[in-house]
Amino acid sequence: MNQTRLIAALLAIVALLICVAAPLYVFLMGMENYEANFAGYKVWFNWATLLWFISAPFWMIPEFFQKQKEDEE
Amino acid sequence: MSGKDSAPGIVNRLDKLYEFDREPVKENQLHSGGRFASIFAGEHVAGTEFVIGAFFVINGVGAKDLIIGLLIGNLLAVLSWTFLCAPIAVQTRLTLYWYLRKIAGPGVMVIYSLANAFLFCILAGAMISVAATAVGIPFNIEMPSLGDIYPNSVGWVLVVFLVGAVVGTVAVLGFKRVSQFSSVCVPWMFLVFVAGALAVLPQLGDFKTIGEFWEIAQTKIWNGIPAEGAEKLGLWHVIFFSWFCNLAMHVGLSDMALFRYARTWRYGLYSALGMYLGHFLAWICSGIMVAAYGAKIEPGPMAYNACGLAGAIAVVIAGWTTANPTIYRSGLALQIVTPNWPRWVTTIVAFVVATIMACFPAFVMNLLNFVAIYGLILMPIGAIVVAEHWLFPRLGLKQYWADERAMLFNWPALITWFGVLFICWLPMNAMNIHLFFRWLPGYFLSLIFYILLSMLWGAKNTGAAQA
Repeated sequence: MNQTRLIAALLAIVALLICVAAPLYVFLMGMENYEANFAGYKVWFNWATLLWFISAPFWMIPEFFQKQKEDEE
Repeated sequence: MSGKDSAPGIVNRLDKLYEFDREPVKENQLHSGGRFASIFAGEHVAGTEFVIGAFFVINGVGAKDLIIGLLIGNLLAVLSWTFLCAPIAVQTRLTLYWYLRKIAGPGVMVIYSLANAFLFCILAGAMISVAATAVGIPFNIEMPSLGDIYPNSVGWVLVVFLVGAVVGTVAVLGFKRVSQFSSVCVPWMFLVFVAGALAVLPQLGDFKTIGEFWEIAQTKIWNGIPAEGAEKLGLWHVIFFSWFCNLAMHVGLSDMALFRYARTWRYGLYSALGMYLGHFLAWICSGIMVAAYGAKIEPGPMAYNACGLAGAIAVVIAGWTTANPTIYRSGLALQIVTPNWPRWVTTIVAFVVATIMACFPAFVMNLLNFVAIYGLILMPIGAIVVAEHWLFPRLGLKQYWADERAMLFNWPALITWFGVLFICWLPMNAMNIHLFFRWLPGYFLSLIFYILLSMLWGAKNTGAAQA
């Protein structure tokens, strides 16, 4: 795995961890300060989603960015 | 009507289309179990999951019935892959296309492909509808409701056509990159379901223990009360639905295309990953999300409510990545019945048909029934293959007798297929047998009919030429 792909993998894993941690926090806090927690979770989740889609393709499908001779048939 | 040499052009074109996988898979082409695990985990966390889990809430399924029903039904689905589909695929190393062609003749294969293409169009249409519910959010489009059959607003039709045009254009250009991209979405998509459910759970009630959560599940989520205009479903409905949800793939054997690469039939057990992550956990999560949203079938706004913008994007991507290959395959199947139309033209025809269907909420609002009909229509084909593959040798009947006689149509297979569908339609309807329960007696009828008709047609005596 080259360095770019390694960094992409690390960022993608961080993104997934945020996607797990943010809703888990809302869940564990229950009704205590729920509205603020829920709004904050959505912000975190959106940023983590952006980070995932920027990094994960470089990690999971590096061939996606290679020039394709023939796209389909 | 017989003779391979006299086979019409339509059959030759269909054969050419599938030429690349005509030969059985070789030993050095087999895949590891990990690949099957990832394929199953990815395939069954899709756009439909946003709708199906929600429908169980709308249809008044009780919490206990849901959990027990999904555990049993998904287990039966896994066993169907493991003991029906995978062993035949591993023994033959062929796709259903070529094996069915050998058993039922190329004519039956053409009819099967066309039926599949039409059903694919409806499925793609439902997925376009699902994606449109998310695209319509910023435009404040009025969403169709449960009982709607026709489009309810001009805005809805415009959004559906916008989504359909994007999906269709990508399908015309080829979907290889889309399928690569969709593999990236899988882990994140799964977390969208889990995150949405976790984050909205406190809205349904405060709980500290499992017992308190179960109380909320029984009273606020799966409370057993159907929404107005929705049919009440119970334990047996859930068992049968989760079993037949992929009926065409396991009992219908179309996943032979996948399992012909398996080292052993035991790889069928990997389907448990898809079933218990997608058809258990994701369905439960979408049920929780819809309960918090207000028990309406609006997957886009529901996911937006639970996960924000990322949720709406998930619904669009899930609908898009499911509809895209479906339209592409439909276009390929249509290509064979057209007078040498190029693939891009047939794909456009497929996506126009799918988009028009997507405008009518009747399809997506009756997704459970459509899934049942889809499986029911293709199920007799699986029974015919099972009868010929396993039962014929035990009954002293000649395997592949239709192929030996070069029959264009294996009439016992064709009569069995349409005869059983007729029985599942009118007589079973008259007997008030629920749509979900019809496929199982239909399957056994298919086995019996095909064996008896083949005996009458002379499967025992292959010397005589008969067609």
